[in-house]
Amino acid sequence: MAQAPRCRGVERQARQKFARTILNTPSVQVCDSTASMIVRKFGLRQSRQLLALTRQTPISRRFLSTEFETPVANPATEVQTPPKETIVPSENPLHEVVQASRTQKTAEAEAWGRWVGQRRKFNRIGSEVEEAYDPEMVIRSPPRPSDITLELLLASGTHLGHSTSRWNPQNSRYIFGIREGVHIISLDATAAYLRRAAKVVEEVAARGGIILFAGTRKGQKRAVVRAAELAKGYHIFERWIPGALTNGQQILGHCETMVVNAVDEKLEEFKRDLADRPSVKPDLVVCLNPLENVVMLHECGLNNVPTIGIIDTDADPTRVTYPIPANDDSLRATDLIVGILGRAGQAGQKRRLEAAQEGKTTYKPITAEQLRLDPFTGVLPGSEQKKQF
Amino acid sequence: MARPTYGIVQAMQSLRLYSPSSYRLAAPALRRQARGYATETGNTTGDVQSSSDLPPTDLPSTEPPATELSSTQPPSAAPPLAEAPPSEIPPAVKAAPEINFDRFNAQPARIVPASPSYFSGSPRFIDNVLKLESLQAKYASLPTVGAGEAPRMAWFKLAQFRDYVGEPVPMKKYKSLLKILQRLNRIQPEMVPGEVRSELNNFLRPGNPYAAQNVPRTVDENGRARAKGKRKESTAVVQLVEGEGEIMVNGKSLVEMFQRVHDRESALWALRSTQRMDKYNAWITVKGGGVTGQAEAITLAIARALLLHEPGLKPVLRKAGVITVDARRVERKKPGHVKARKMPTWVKR
Amino acid sequence: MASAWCWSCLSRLRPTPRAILPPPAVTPRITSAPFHSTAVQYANPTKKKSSLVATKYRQGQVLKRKKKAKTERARPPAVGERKALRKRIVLSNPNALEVEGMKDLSPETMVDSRLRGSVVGLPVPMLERLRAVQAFKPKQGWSIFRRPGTVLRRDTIEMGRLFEKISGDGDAPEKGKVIKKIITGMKGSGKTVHLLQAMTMGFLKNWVVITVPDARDLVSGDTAYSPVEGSKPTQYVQPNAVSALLTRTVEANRQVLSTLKVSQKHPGLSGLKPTSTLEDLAKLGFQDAAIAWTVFQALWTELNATAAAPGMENNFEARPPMLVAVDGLAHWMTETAYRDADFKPVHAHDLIFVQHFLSLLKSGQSLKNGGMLLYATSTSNNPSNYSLEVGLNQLAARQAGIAPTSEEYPQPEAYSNPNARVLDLFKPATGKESALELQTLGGLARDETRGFLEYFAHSGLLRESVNEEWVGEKWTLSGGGIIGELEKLGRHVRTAAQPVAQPVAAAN
Repeated sequence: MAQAPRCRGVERQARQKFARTILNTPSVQVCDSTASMIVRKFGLRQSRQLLALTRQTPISRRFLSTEFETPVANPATEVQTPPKETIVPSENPLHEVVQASRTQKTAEAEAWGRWVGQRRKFNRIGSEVEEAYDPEMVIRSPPRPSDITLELLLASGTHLGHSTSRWNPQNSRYIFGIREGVHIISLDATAAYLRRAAKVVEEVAARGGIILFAGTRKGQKRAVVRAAELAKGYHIFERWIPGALTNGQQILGHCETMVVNAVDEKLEEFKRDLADRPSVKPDLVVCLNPLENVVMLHECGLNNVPTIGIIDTDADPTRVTYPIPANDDSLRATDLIVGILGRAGQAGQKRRLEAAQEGKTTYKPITAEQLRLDPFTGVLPGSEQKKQF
Repeated sequence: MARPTYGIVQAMQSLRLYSPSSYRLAAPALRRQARGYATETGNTTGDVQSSSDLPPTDLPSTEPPATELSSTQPPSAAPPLAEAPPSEIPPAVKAAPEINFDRFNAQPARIVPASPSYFSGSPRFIDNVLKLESLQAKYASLPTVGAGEAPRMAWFKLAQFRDYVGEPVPMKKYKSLLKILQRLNRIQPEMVPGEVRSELNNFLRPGNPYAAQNVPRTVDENGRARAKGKRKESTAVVQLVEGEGEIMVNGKSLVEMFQRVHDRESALWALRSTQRMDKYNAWITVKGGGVTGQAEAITLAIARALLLHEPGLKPVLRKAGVITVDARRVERKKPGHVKARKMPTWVKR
Repeated sequence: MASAWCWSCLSRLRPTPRAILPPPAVTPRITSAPFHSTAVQYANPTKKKSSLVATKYRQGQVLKRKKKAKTERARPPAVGERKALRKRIVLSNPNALEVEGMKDLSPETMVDSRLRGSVVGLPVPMLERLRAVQAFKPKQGWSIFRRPGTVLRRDTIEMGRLFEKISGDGDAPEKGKVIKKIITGMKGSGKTVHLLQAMTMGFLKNWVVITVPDARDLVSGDTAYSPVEGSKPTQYVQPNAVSALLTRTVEANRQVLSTLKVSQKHPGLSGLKPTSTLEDLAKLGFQDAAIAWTVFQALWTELNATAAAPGMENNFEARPPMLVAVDGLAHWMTETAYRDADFKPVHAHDLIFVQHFLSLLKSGQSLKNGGMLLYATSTSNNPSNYSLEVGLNQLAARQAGIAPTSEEYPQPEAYSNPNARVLDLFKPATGKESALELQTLGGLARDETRGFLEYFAHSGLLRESVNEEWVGEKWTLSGGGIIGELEKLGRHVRTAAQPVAQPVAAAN
C-alpha cells in the first residue's frame, strides 16, 4: 500500500488516494520515473543506516516537519515550491538553543547538537513523501474560503451526519440521503453555507467587529485558538459562563479592555474612560458545537448577536443565524471549518487595516467625546441637570 | 508532508488537473475550476442548490456571493478575488484632502478586549496557559532530565497565583498549569532557552525558599548533641554530652519523672541497646502527652542525639527500633460516632 | 306439706366435673355441702407476684428483689488482724542464701572506710531492741534476705565517726557535743534506714536511744489529748503517746537504764525510791498513763543531769549521750487533727510532746551530755508544707554560705502566709556551737551500688554476673543510685532459669 505504483487507472488511483487520506497513510510520490529510480535506489542503499539512526534517537514528527521547511533545503525544491502565501515559517526556534549549547559544550548539549546536525543532513536524502495527510497542517495553515471544494469537505468527513433516528427534521433540506442508517449531509449545501458564513465573518472583520470563536469540545482548543489568532478575534474553549452576555458587568467586569485606534494600536490616554463601561459584547459568534452551547446561543439571541454554527443532523438549525450543515463530531471537520472561517476573518482584517492605512475606517469609530460620556445616561459625568430630562 | 494538503490535491488529480509543480501558480484558476466542478456535481446529484436557495447575507456588500460568481463567470476570465473593491471606498472623483496621520492615529476607533480570552472570564490565566503550552510545543524536542534531577522551583501557591493573575482560578486548573511548568523545568538545565527561563521566573514565589540548605546537625563546640523526638502528643529535646550516665528530665531525676521502671528503660533504650548507658549524660526537656508518650519521645530524641555522636551506630539503633518514628496519633472523634470509628448501637425501635 | 326439695333430691345433685373446678390446692376447702346446684364459681387464683410490681400508669416500677440468703463463710479476720498483717515486719527469708563473709555492724566496722560499699549485717542481739523502737518499716525489703543488713555508704561511715567522737573514745574535742541534723532526700533515698543505722550505732555505743518512729501518730488525732492546766497559750498533753514512748525507751534501753540510778528529786512522783533505777522510773509512766508526762519529764531531767542533786551523789554515774530520732518531721509543722475548745484546729507546736522534741532543735546545748538529734523528713504520706519548705531552703542556703542578709537568701513569697513558728525553728543559730544542719541523702556512688547489687547476687536473688557495665546501667535506671529504686530493680530482675549449683555449702 505504501509503495503503490503510479501507472494505474485514474479511477482506482483516485480511490486509493482518497482511502489513504482517510486513513492518514503517507504515500510516497515520485513523479519523474528516472529520478524516482535514482532516488529510490539511494534510499534503498541508505535506508538501513537511516532506520538505525532514527531508532537511536527519538525524533518527533512535528520537529521533522518544521525542519524540512528551513531555508537550508536544496535549490531544486525551492524553485518548485512557490513562495508561501499563508504563513512564513518562523526561524527554527531551536537555533538559539543550538547556539547556546555549542558555546556551553556540556556532554548532553553536544550529543543533542550532534543529533540535530545528523537529522538535518539525513532528512534531505531519501525518498520524498508527499501528499500525506498531516492533521497539524489544517491548524497551522488552514485553507482559505476559496479553497473550499467538495472533495476537501468529503475528505474531511463533513458529510457524515447522525443516525437517522436522531435527526432533526428541520435539517431535511441539508440531507443528501441515508447510508447504512446514517444521514449524509449534502456537500453542496455545506460548501454553499460555509462560503456564506466565511463571507459573513470576513465582512464583520472588515468592519471591525468582534468575532468570538467558541468550540468547547475536547480537542477543539487548538483550532479555535488558531482561528481566533488569524481573524484577530476571540476564543473560548472551556465552558461558556452563563450570563457572560446578559450579566456581563458581573462576569466579565474585571476583564481588561482597551481603546485602540484604527490601526489597532492601543491608546493609553483613554484608559480612565473605560472605568464604568459595560462589558464588551461580540458582534459575531462562531460556535462549533451548538448542541452543548444552547445557553450561549440563547444569550446571543437576547443580545442581537448574530451567530454562525455547525449544524449536524441532530441539531436545531434555528438556534443560529447562519447555520453550516456539517458534521460537528469529527475534529477534522470542525478544524477545517473553523480554520476556513479564521482565514476569512484574516482577509477581512487585512482589508480593514489596509483601509486604515489610507486614513479610512470601514466602520463608525467611537469618538473621544463619546468615550468621555457616561455610557448609561449619555451625559458627561459632571453634568447632573441633563440627566433629569 | 511538506505542503498543506486537504484532499484538494487528490480531487484535482482525479480531474487530471494537478501537477505538483504548477499547483501553486495555477491555483486561482484551478480553484475556480474546482469550485465550478463542485457546484456542477451538486447540480447533477439532483440536490437543487442555487443562489436563490441561500438565505441572503444581511451585510451590505457589493461583491456578489461566491456561488453566483462560480456559476456565471467562465473560469478562465475570472478576475482574482481580491480585486473586488471594498464598498466603503467610493470611486475617486477628485483628489482627497491629505490625511493627517498623526491625528488620525491618535483618535480612538474601537473599544476592544485586551485579551483574546476575554469571554472566558479569566483571560489572564488562559493567556498564561496558552503561552506556556506554545513554549512547551516549541521546545518539545530538547533533552530533559528526570523529575528528581530538575532544579527545585518554588512555584506560586494557589492563593499567590490568584493574586498574581487577579482571577479566581480553581485548584484543578492551576494544577494543570503547574504540570506544564514542571515539564518546562525538566529541560536539560544548561540548555534552557532564555524565553523559557524568563517565563518560568514569572511563576516563582518571591524569595527563594529552597535556597537555605539545611545543614546536617553535628555536635557543637561544647560537645553537646541536640536532638528532638516526638511520640503521641509529647515532644522531647535532648542534649547529650559525654559523661557518666546522669540523666535529668525537666530538672528532675529520672526516677521522679517516671515511676515505672518500664518507662525508664524505654526512655533509655537507645543507650542501653548500644551499651552506652554509662558513657553519656543527658539533659532532657519533655512536654505534652502522658507518661508513655514522654518516655518514648525521649527514646527517639536520645537515639538521634546519639547518632550525632556516633553515626556508626545507625544499624544497631535501627535494629533496636529506636530511630523509627512512630507517626501514629490519636484519631479524632467524629460526629455521629461514639469514638473515632465506633458507631452507636443499632436499635430497632 | 312437703317441700319441693327433699334430702334425696339434694343428695342426688350431681357434683361439678373436676375439670371445671379450680385445682384443689387453690380451692378453699369447703366444709359444708353445696347448697346450689349451679357450678361453683370461684375467683381466679391470685398470681404469684413478680419481682417487678406493675403499678398504675404514670407510676414508677419498684424493683423488689429477694435478698440472697446469707451463707456461712469462713471466720472473718479478727479486729486488727489485717492491719497487723499489713504492718508485719519480716526480717528473715530462709530461702535466701546466707552471704558468706558478711560482717556485722560493730564499733569497729562502722568507721572502717575499707568496708564502704559493702553490706553489713545488723547484729542479731540488737534486732529485738531495734524492733522495740520500731526502726524497721514494712516494705523496706527486709523480707527478701536471710538476715537484715545495710549498706555502709559514705554517709553511714561519717555518721559512725561522729558517734565515735561524741562518745569520746579517743578524747576527741567533740566529746559531749550535740549534733542536730535534719535529714532530707528524695523518695527511696534511705532516710529511714539512715535513722535505723544511727539507732544501731547508738545501741552499740551504749547511748540512750529515744525515737519517734512516726511523727504522724501524734498529730493524726488517734491518741487521747488533754489541755495542760494554766498554760498560755493552751498546750495539750497526750498521755497515751507518752506512755508508749516510755515503753519503747525502756524496751530498747533496758541495759543502760537499769544501771543508772535516780539522782534528782522528783516531788511529783511519790512511788519513787532513792535507790530505784531509771528503768523503774520509766515504768511508773507506762503503768499509769495519767502521770506519764510527769514521768517523762523526770526521766528527761535524769538523763540530762550532769551532776546529782545535793544529797543523792552516792549513786550518780555519768549519763551517756543520747540519740533522738524522729521520722516524718513535716507532720509536726502543720495543724493537727485535734481541736481546741473553740473547735479550731490545734497546731502541732501546741502539743507539749511535739514541742518538747522540736525545742531540742533550737540553738544551744539542748542535750547536756551530748548526743545526736536526727529528724528525718518523709516522702510517703507527707503533707505538703510551704513553711517547712522555705525553712529547709533557708537552712540549705546558710549551709552553702549565703548570708541571711543577702539577696539570694530564700524568703517566703509575698502573700504566701507562712507559719512564723515554723520559720522560727530554722532561724540562724546565735551560738556557734551545735547549729542545725541539713543533710540531704542522695544516691549511692557507683562502687556502693555495685556492693549492694552483689549482695543481691550473693543472696541468690540475682542470677546475672554483676559487672561494671550492668551496674552502671542499673545505677542510671535508678536515677543515680537511689537505693530504694535499686532494691526494686534488684528484685525485679528476671532472667532465664539457669542451672545453678545447689547451695550445698549452705545446707552443710
